[in-house]
Amino acid sequence: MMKETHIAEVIESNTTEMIAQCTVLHCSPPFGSFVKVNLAEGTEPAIYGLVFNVVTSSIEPNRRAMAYGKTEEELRKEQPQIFELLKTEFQAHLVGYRDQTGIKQILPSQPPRIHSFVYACSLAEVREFTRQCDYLRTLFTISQVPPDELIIATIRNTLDAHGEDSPHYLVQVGKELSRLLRDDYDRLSSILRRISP
Amino acid sequence: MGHRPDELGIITRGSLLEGVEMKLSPGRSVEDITAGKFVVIEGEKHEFFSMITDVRLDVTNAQILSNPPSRENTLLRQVLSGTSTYTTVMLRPMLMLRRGENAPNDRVPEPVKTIPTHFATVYEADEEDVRCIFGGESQDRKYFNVGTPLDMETPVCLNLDRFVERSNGIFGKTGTGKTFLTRLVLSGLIKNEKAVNFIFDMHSEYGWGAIKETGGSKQDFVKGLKQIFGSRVAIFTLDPDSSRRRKVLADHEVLIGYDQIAVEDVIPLQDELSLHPTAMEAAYSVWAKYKNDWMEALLNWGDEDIKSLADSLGVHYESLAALYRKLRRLRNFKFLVPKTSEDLIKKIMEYMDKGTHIVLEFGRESSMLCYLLVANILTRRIHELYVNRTEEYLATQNPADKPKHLVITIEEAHKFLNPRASKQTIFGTIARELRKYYVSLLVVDQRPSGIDDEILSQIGTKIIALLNDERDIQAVLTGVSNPAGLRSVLASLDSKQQALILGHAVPMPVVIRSRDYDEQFYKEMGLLLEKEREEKIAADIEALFG
Amino acid sequence: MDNGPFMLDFSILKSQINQMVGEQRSRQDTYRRRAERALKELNRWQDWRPLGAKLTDSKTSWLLAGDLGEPLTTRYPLVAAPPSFTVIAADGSQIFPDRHELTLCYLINISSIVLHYGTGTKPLLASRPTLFYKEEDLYKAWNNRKIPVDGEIVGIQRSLMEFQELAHLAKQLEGQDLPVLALCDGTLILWHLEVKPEDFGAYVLSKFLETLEYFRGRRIPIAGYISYPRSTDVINALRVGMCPEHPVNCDKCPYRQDPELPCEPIEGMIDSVLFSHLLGPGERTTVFKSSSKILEEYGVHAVYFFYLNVGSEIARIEVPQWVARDRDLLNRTQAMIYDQAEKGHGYPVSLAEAHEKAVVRGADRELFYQFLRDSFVRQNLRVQVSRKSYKKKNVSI
Repeated sequence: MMKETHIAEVIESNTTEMIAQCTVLHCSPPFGSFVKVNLAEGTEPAIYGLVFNVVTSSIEPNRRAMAYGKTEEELRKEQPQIFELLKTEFQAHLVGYRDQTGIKQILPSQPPRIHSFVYACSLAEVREFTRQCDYLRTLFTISQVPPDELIIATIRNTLDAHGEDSPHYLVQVGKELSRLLRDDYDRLSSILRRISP
Repeated sequence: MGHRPDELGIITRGSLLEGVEMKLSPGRSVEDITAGKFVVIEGEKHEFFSMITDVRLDVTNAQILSNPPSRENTLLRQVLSGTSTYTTVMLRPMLMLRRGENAPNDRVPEPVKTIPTHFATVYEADEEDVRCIFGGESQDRKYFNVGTPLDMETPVCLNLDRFVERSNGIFGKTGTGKTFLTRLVLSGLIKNEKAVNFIFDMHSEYGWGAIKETGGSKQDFVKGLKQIFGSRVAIFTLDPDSSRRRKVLADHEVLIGYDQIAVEDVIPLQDELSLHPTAMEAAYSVWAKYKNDWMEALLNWGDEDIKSLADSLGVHYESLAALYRKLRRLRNFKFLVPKTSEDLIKKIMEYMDKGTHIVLEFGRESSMLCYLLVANILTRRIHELYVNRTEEYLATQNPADKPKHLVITIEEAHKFLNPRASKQTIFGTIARELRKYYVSLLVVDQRPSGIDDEILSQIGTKIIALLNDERDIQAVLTGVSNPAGLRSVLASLDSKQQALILGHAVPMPVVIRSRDYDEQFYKEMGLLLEKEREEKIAADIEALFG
Repeated sequence: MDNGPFMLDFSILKSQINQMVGEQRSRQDTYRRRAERALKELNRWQDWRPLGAKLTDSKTSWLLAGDLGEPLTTRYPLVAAPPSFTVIAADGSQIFPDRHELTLCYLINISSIVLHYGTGTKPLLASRPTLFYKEEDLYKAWNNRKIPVDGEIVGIQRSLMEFQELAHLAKQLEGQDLPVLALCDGTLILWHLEVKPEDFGAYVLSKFLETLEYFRGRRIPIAGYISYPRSTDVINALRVGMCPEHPVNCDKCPYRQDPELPCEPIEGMIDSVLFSHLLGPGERTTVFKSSSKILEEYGVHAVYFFYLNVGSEIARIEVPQWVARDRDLLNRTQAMIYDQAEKGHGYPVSLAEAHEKAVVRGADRELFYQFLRDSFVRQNLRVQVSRKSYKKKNVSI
């Protein structure tokens, strides 16, 4: 397998979530996209996460960024140190893992190790993972962002992975959502309205 | 039968009393589901043959009702379909069959004693199912093809043996094709030689050719029974002139003498003639004196001096006068004569003993009065003879003495079988007797609510075309267990060529599209070509007269 | 008296504050008069030569601004800063040895800042801690005595390490032909060393001058940036100018009995305030030479200074002689420093970052001690905390 370049490094992890710092400032995997981490260096079992929060902030807790009134290009020329003092991090919810028997949409028994490398998931991986829609249920447990927004973003991202099959997949996902949202018809129509390309 | 293709749905709930509910599978359109359709539920241990009785659209959430997705919002519609919006189909299991038995011919459907488990799969019935339940003509002569189930091509057969075990009825609103259905059934009885038929053909529709109600095709005429079955059917006519004019090959002219009319024959005419009960009393009084000549006596005296007759009898003058006035109408009937030379009944019996079926045409004498009178007179006599024959047979136990089973066909049955008349007429008696004396009725009627309930419940097999009137529907479903589902099926029948058959002659109620009554049919009934027919007639005459 | 939950008695304090405010008002009038007079004196020496001569002949303990070469009111406006240049800065901080805490060691943390402007090259913001624990680190030998180092010694050591780091950073840039500016926070004049014993002082000084020489060889200006300077070199020179005596000899001042010395009217004034009335934003004064005694050892690196209006304040910029006398280099230095101050919203951004990177905050300090303690414990060494420091940490009721 071709060695992919990692896009971030895990700096915090627990049973349900991980926080990773991006290798390049402002270059985080998008909100609602899938990332993966290998459980231990070089081994195949991979943990899948879903990005639900992206934060860019100062590296030092007591220093905050301030407005300069200049474009980024100008700032890079005139205040280059700024970009060294900022970092972009993202929080990802752990949605499943892959072991020898295949993909499971349940929490892994161990969270990703600190300093593990995080990679973006390819379209093929996304397609394979999202064949089952069970992971959608856990997205409602995330409290930091409105779950509807996250669901919309996630599904929009996965539609690309399903290519020609996406209209059919969209209906399948819609039905799963309908079940999850029970009687909340207004919420369902609002979400579906915003998912449609 | 584990090879079924597309599933229709899944059983979600239900009860033995009320039927089971099925959730329609996604991908099946509710518009394919028609009431009366025949389906199979594959339960754990049994297969349940069922009929669709109702269809309902449901939503899980009232919000959808108040704010349904617009026409452009196809995604939302597709998502909701089958999850938040779904179709429930009500099914009525009619028969069940133990699964796992190999030879299809050995399997005997039983009445339904239980219901399928949750989530049992439902499939459309296929040809094998229909054949298994209803039998096929190739299996046995007792099966006669009367049509096909809705959306299927397999023939549905009546079990004629069971059909003739009871009296039967053909019901339906005016114009729904009762006459065709009757012709169909009669053809079956004639072809398979299950019974001898005596048909009171009030409108001259059965014996010879009749005009099809729906014209527009080049054949506006359909063949009558005699045209199809030739000499096996004899036409008796009350109106020879009319028959001649219509070029009907009548076999016999019917004349009835006054001395053949009994008081009992007049009683059913009460309503028609608006006779007061006291008038009937008066009639009995006349008979007491004059016996068989009472009618002639009454009419003669009535012409001259009714009063003195009344006095001599000791009856009320007015009653007798009224009686005379009403009965005077009978004089108008050309077929009524003071005396006949021939014993008509004997003649009829001769034909029937040979197995020849009789159609009695009324020609232009098609008034209700005439119909009632003639039907009562003849039937009463025939029945009497049959009773004698039966008692003889019981005594000798000689198979040669066994009377041939007779089916009497009457139309406007509610005139004969309304609650009052049924107690007084021979028809009520016959209906109640079942087959004790080898006579049964085939009643054809558009107002079954007019028929006495008790009689209706004795009717073995009912063939029901479209009925609208709630009372008629209720009447026709009297005595049927759990009629609720069948009610909606009845209301949804096409106005032509569709009927619900239920009762003795079919293992389970079934909606059919009736068999076409056309050239193909004639051929199947054995109709010979013109030339062949003539030859056959010649041969028959030869055989008859030597 | 019960002060409630407060430790300070605010009721007493309040009247004192009121008194102070009252005094301030009268002080402001005095101040204004003083400033006007100082400006007048400054303007007086359009011909600087007589003043220069007077200064040379004078005998006073004051630090005097020297080597005058043009009118004192000369102002130099800003030239354009180079389109691309690099600024290097270093700063340091320490965790002092606390004789009451653990065994003796001290930590010096030096930060390195390299900021490239106009090229888009990635900047460097780093720091490196060094732990000093060896005998020779903990005890300095001079005058044949072994004396434990104290806070002041560590400070001097730290200061040297900062300069050496600057040289190190400059060495990394060899091969780059963009202009470079080396900045440090504070003075270039190591007057601390004046009072120290010779061997230590000599050592430090020689190392220091080595770095300056390196910079001279590369023609990279190195400047000391003093914010809110309280220096009075120029005022003192003006005061000498106000004295009627020739030569001026403050030891033998004949006016001591007078109600007011002739040089008194501008006493209390400071240079930065004086020049705040003269300099527009970006403008600098002429260069003056510092008369600090230690500078006799500096040779070609003798320290000159000028005042620069960085917009938010008047800062004092110190440069070696070879910068002061190189007009282009000097002006470029002025431009680059002003640019730095502008970018840093009033204080050079490189120095601010260097400070941030160098500083060891309270929490880190505690963590450092904790870390040490745990390491010792793991090695099963006895850890003894003296009673005094324990008391400072946990004050009970």
